Amino acid sequence: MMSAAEVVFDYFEDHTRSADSVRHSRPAALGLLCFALTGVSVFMAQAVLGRLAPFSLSVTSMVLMAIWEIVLGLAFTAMLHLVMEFEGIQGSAASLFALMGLASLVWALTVPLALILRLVAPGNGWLATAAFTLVGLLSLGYKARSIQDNYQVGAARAWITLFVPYAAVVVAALLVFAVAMVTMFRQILQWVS
Amino acid sequence: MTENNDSGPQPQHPEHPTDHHVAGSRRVKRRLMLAVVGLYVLSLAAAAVVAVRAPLGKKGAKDGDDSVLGLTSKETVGWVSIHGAIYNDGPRTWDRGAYQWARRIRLMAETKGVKAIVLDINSPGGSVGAVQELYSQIKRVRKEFNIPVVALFGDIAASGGYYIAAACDRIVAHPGSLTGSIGVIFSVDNVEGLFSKIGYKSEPIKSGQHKDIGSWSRTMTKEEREILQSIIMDAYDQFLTAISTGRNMPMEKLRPLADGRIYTGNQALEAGLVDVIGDAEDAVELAAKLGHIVGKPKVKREPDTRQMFMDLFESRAGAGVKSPIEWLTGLGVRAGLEYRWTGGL
Repeated sequence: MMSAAEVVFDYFEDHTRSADSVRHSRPAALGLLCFALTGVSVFMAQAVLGRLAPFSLSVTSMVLMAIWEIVLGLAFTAMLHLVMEFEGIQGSAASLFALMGLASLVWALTVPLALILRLVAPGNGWLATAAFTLVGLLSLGYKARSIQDNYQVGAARAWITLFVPYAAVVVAALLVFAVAMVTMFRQILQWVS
Repeated sequence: MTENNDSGPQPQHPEHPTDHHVAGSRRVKRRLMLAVVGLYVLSLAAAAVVAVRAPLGKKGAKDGDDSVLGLTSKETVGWVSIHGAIYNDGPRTWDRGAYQWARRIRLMAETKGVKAIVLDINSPGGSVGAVQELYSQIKRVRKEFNIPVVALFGDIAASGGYYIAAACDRIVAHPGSLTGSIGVIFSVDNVEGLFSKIGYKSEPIKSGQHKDIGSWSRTMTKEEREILQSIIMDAYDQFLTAISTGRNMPMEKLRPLADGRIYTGNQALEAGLVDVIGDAEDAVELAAKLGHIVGKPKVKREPDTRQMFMDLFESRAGAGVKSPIEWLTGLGVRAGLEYRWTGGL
């Protein structure tokens, strides 16, 4: 039986071995911990770079961020698993959750990165955005690989599946925006008339 | 390949590692992970120290004022606005009037980094209880937090508006701000004639002779007038005492000024009712000076998020249309003792 430390190590060093282990043990608690650490890391990195608004620098806000990350992870995993099930591909949702958590652990990099940026180029918003984008892309890459490992699918299908939840969010946001605009115009028309 | 049953060392094969090799590999992994976790914890600790000790602003400036819920360690001047008539409740159900303002002043004083407060007053006064609540809370906050409070008069800070300003360390007014109106009023309407025209008659059953004092369905008796006058004079004396102690002004100098008249900022300065003629920036600078803030002071305006949300909700729900009752209460059609300038209404 592999320890959690070994699973994490193998995830970045020997992903097939790690995926195999996760498939057998389904460490949902490890996934939870990873997502919580992601939330804490992003929160601290944002705090160092002075980009915490509208949150305050407090333990409560940090806990809220960690909870938010866990909830988001759960929803993301659920959506991905649902897509895979619809496509008739079998796999464990618990394993996927753990693997997604491990993939999001890459965000832990933002803490040392933020410290370095603060030291090298304090107040440079573009550099910070670029660093966060790079880490985000890296995390996406690991997520796609996790889908491949968990459902034994090809890279192309994994990437397409990975973008479904993001596309769904964009579509939902556009719908809400459209409804808001229609309501606003109706209100204006009422006021005018 | 022949099977080797010797007790000697097993041949090393990458796909079938020995237990010894697996154990060694695990040890290395654990140590490496431990090192990574250690480095991560260290970076987290460093980040926490950096974020708390030297917070960066939105654009790199070293202050956290841009955050809605933000903390700031920089020395700032807090800004609290008291706009409108002062009552213990408001015309809307979520308004909590004086209590809400008192709470905001206290919260501002408790905020880390706030070294002085500017009280932006734009009010014609209000009910005696509500005004006195604010007055005593300002005094209490000043004493408890050892924080200077500077009052800034807007268009008007008359009667109760001036009463609460008297609790502050200094008063800054615009040259044309309306202030003064030091006095008490108890408005009693008499609609006896109207009631008789429409055939309405009120017959209160009382436990005592004066239980319906101030009734608007009959003419006030001489005795009732004396009772109400004594109440008004008592409240008036309380007003004078508050100003006299708050502004350290002798009673004999104050009494002639306190006949209920209103003053402009310039006149009030001459009379010694305000300290400085100036604007918002002057008030902030004066507060900063009293709070021993070095350099150009930052201002922290604490938004009342609850109030903002309810206002937004109101504007969405009713598009700002007020009911007649709301209009009347907004205009101040209330019964009771008031430190308020009605402006002739």
